Amino acid sequence: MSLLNVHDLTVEYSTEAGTARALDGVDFSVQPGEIVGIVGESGSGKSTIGLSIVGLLREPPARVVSGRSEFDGRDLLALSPRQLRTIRGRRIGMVFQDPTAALNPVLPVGDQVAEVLSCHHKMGTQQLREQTVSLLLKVGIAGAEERLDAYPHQFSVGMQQRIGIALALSGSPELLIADEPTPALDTTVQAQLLDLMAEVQRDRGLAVLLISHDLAVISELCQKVVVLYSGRVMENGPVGDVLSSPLPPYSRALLASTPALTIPGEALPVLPDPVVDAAELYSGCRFRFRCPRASERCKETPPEVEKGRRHRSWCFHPHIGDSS
Amino acid sequence: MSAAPLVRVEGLSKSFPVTTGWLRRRVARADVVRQVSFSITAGEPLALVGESGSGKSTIARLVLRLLKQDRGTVHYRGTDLDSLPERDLRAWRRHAQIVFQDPLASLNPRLNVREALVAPMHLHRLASSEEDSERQASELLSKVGLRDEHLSRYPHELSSGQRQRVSLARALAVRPEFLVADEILSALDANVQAQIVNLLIELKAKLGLSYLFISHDLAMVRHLSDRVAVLYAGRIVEIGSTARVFSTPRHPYTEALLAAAPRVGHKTARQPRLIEGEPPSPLELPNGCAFHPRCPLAQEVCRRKMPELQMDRYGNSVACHVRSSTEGDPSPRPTPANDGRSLDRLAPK
Repeated sequence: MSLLNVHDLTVEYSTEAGTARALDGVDFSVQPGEIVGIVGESGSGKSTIGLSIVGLLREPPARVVSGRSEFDGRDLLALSPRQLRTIRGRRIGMVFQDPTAALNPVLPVGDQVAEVLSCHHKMGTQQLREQTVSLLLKVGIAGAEERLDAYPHQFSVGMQQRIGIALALSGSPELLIADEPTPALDTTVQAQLLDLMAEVQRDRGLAVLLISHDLAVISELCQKVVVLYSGRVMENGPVGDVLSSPLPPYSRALLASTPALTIPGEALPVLPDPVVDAAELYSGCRFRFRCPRASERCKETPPEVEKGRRHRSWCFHPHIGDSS
Repeated sequence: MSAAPLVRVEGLSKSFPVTTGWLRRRVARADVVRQVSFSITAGEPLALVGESGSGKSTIARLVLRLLKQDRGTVHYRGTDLDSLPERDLRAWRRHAQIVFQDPLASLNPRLNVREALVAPMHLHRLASSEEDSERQASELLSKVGLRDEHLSRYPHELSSGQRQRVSLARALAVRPEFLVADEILSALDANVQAQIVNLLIELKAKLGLSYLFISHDLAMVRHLSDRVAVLYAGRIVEIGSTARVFSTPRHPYTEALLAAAPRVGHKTARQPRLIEGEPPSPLELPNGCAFHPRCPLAQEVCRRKMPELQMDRYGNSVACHVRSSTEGDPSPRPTPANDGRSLDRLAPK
């Protein structure tokens, strides 16, 4: 059975200019111990997914129009705030994009970790201290015992994100949601954090939902990937299959814009960016306005295409059987 | 190659005082750029790569004289910029422009796009009339993939990608011959990145624009630059042709940096990363080679003596006691960086 099962999730934001549909019928699942990536550009709705499935969306302006987010068989969107708190933080941990904003700047880091630990587990002062130190050591804070009284600003951003991961792990969760956990970090520090995430995932048999705009990061860490475009799932399948033979033209374009795959100095493929009438936007395939393969049919809801066992796409013109 | 370089930087050093309290008492000194030398030949883009704190952005500002160096010289087409009076320096700025990482900080919030683009044209008398400046502004926008409707927008009404394109258009408004691009791609989506990259490639081919491209994105660096300088703790540790540095990196830091870059079709934790820890603080630089505390090859001499850049027979230079001694070894070494993980091996099927 799936640990997390997101079904038909639709979220709208009301803005001055009207209602914007950030997510439109999003479906995906995460099995226990599995790392699933959600990849999309800015504005594709990927952060909204991370927030809405654990009931952290600010409503209003956001509104969950329909859908379920079932965690271990219970729909999180139907729970009361009180019931949600017994799951969020404890059974589902979250790592946010900006560790500087996620940590309290006026509290020593030891206190912050201890506070969260004591929320989830009853224990004495001495044991709490030991647990805090061991958790910080586990995420790679060298000399954690001496640094319990240090404030967040005394750590580098990479170290702050390690503390953020420690906070997320403090409830011993079964699922970790990480929203762009490594965007502002240097290459070598990013690599160390990806290694750390892979390590805690392995050690604890944790399921991870990794949200990123970076296909390379997704490809390094994940087993399954969900490709999101303008609030719709375009493709969903094992990472290897999606990367080696993407079905919809959008995934193909996303891959092609990575410069590692072209000859240095050559122009990179660019998608057109036409102005789209809002009335047309929410029907049919969302990508049709920019798609090189688009046809009249794409104004209708695209059909599900399956290739292999778990590799699915929603497209009238998928790349099947053509090698180019 | 024999022509005089467009930009020649020699022995550039810069440190900043660290102050405390309201008396601004000096408590320490941060050595941010240390003895950096390089040159840029016209039409041969140079990339600076390195992690945060390595001195990339400070070098960019020193080269354009937005900051005054402590030691060293910057020559532009053979002229020492220090010898230029303020007036001439201002006129020179028409030729050398910069685009910064954060467009929201570098665009004036009270000017709309039209005003932002027209101001530099008027300053340098590059427009003959109102209609002319309007026409140029509209051309600039279409060059960076925006439309005339954006002319009347203010920065807060634009997305971050659009803002970055406006700052690029503003830099191009004075038709410079040299452009410093300081992390201009990092806030952008892949498709917008690709657009800007293509624009830079086109400007180089059509107008002979030369650029100094500063980035931490190694794939972009490889794509855009002919030469690359790798910085660590304010010093160049390796410099040379991009193709060669990427295929056979010689400095252990360059190797580690290339190995650490995430890439499509590669799995984390399959192989141990080459280095641990983080770059040193510019307040407390290690003695000798600044990389030695993290270096897998470090020897006794590395703790004592700072290595100088030494050129190998391919024209690439490396500052490393250990690797300089194995002069220009052409065969790939059995290090993890070359073990099927080099960016070059990643070819599409």
